[in-house]
Amino acid sequence: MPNLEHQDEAQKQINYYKERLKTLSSSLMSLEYANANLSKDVLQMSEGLSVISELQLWNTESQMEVLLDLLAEKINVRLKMDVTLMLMPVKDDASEYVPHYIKSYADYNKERALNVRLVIPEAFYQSSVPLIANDDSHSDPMVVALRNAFQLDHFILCPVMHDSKVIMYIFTGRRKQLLQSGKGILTYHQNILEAIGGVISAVQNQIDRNVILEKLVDKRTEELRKEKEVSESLLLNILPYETTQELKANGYVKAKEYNTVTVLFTDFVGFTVLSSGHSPQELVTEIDHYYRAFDNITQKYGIEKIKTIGDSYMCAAGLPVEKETHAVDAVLAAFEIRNFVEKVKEERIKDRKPFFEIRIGLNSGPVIAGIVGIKKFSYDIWGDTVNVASRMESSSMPGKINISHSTYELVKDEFECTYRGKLNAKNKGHIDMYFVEPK
Amino acid sequence: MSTFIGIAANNQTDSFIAGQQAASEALEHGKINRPDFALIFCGGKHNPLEFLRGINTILPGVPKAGGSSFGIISNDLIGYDGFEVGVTLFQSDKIRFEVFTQGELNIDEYKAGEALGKKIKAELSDDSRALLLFYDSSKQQTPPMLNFATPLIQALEQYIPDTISIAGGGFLADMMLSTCHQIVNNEIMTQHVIGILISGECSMDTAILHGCQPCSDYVTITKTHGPLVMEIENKPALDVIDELLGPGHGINVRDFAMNITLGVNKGDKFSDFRESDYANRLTLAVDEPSKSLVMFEPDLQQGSEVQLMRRSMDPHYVGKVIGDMINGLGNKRPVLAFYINCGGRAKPFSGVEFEDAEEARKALGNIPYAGFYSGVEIAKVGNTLQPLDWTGVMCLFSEL
Repeated sequence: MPNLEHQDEAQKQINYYKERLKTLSSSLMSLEYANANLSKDVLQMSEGLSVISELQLWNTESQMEVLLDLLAEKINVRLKMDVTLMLMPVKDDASEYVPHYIKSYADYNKERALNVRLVIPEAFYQSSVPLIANDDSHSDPMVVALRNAFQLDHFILCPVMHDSKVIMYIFTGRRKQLLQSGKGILTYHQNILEAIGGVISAVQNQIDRNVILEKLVDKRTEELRKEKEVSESLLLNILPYETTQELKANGYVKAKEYNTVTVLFTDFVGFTVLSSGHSPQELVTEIDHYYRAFDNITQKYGIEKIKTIGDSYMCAAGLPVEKETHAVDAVLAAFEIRNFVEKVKEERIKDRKPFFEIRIGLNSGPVIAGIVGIKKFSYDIWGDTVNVASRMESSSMPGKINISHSTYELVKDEFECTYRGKLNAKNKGHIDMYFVEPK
Repeated sequence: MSTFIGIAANNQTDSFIAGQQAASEALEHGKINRPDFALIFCGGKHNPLEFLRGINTILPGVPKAGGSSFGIISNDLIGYDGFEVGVTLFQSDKIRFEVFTQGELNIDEYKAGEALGKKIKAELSDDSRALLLFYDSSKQQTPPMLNFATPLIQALEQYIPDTISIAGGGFLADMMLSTCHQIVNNEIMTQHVIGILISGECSMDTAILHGCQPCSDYVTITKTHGPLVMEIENKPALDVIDELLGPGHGINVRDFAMNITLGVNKGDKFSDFRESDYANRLTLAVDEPSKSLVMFEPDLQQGSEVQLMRRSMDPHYVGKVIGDMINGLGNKRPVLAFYINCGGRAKPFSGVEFEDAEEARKALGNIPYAGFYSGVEIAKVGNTLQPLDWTGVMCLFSEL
């Protein structure tokens, strides 16, 4: 019997260890299964996080449509979904949404999904809460509507918020598993989609800011453009256009020799006497009235105004761009200047008001033109031609246009010229002078 | 060098672009100017027609074979999200490929195997070296059922000499047994088996990677019907599994699918554990009304003694098996490692902490690496060709 007892004891021990082994094995299996499940979730979560991290590469220069398409693809592939799409509001109806950027498996009825127009109830829209539905959720009307629309058993609808408003919804889901129970959509999917929505909102914020910034930049650019126009216009008042370009390009302007130009001087007769009866303000206003008219006339004939010295107006034709008709142009301008002054004179006489008369003198010949100085610089011309032109003016008569021989030679065929003889010009001796009138 | 291999993979969701891009990059990667043959695979979420159309813009007229895959393996991409595609291009003066097909697998796997075997036998030559066998695993969704490799192989084996190295896998589009496609040249088909006969101055060595250990007593299957294990120890199979897993195991009974593995020890029952002695069968689904396990293959019979197996892979194991394989090549020059890996072994499904296909890539070094994730794997265990579950079959192609 001891043998039997020994056998019983041995069997008892075997049974004990078998039971222990079974318990340990089952615990190990359970742990391994739980571990496997956890691993799957961790892997999924890390995939989701990598999608979020890749979104950081988005910037405001990226095209939103391309980005959303790419995002739908990433969600579908990386989160192992079967269908992903973006529900965008129909423009004229904020409650109605249509699917865009659909990513799906090959057999999915994409055409059907594309034709869906989904009305989001106001209460759901206002709640801004994601909706998770797995195959055991049936009663919620929103779940039923989405399930009918997109034919999926497990899905999530996640709002993308921007500026406290839902700008779109991300919809993604899976088919029902055939062989295993399947986990469907879990909370971490919601967390990932919410984070993705956050990034979209941040990008949208940046885009909004950029739009505001761009408007500001546009406004400022326009202001600068106007300011530039004003300053350029001012510069053009001081300098010829060609000279401004040279000045802007080089920072300086080279003096330039011109073989022949026509220089024109005017002077108001009796200015000193008349000015004594006016206040300085009235005198400036009066002079300005005439000079504005002279400016228009010289501009009309392409004549460069050089400067005014008190009541003397000086301009030159044939520079800075050389021009064959410089003398004729200058004489035509002189006629108009003279006529303007005469016209004003007649009106003033009629009104019994004081008036100016004008002397005009012209001379043609070579000059040197350029800019001198660095402050309040001005375009000026030098040479004997200028001095002789001034003498022509001082030797002229009120209401007359006195020209030198050199100018006469250039305009004699065009106008009526009356030889005045050799008249004395200060520091120049006796020189030929002509009065010129239209034919 | 007389063999050039070009491999490319991507996970574009546009099937046409995915195919076009993979074909184009495979040419580029392999510096191939005269593609002789292409192995092409696309994930179950792709439209195979569009995928093939994309490929044909780059590789018109190139002989091709492949089909749906649960996932893709390559040097640059390992993925199983349904949108992966892979293209492996060959240009070789030493290796030839000849493709054979046979349909109606879903009607009779044995007859399909027999017909294919006859076709291949008729074309065998003195330098025929290897056979890659691909077939449509997915028979139907309701109730979930696979095409069985066991009768297919039994029939086929009669016509293929032992000298020919054989390996293969069952295509699975996804875990929902969605329609699975096979592609041969410009034809897309379903319920077909494809045989790719490889001839020339080459060889195909294979190695099997498992990774399961027993974690229960021996229990005896007492009632089966085809792939259904209905009773174990005269009790409903699901109840026995529930008991074996222990109280409070927390596993949903539907999740026994793809998790519960039963192993048959073909060696000494009570000696030290030897992985090579075990033939493992994975559960495809559960049939709750009959409390049965639906197995991947119908080879567990009444009277079979089985143990509940737990997954136990470690990265060093993968490296060691592949290292031994490479060391055994001698003077042969490896040109391609082609890995047919069970979808269940992919990291998110296996629950192991590493990706075994990635470990294999590391162990292979500079050898071009391609492959796909399958439903069932086929390889010779000893001298017997067997359908295998939860297994990786590494095929190493070499020039002689």
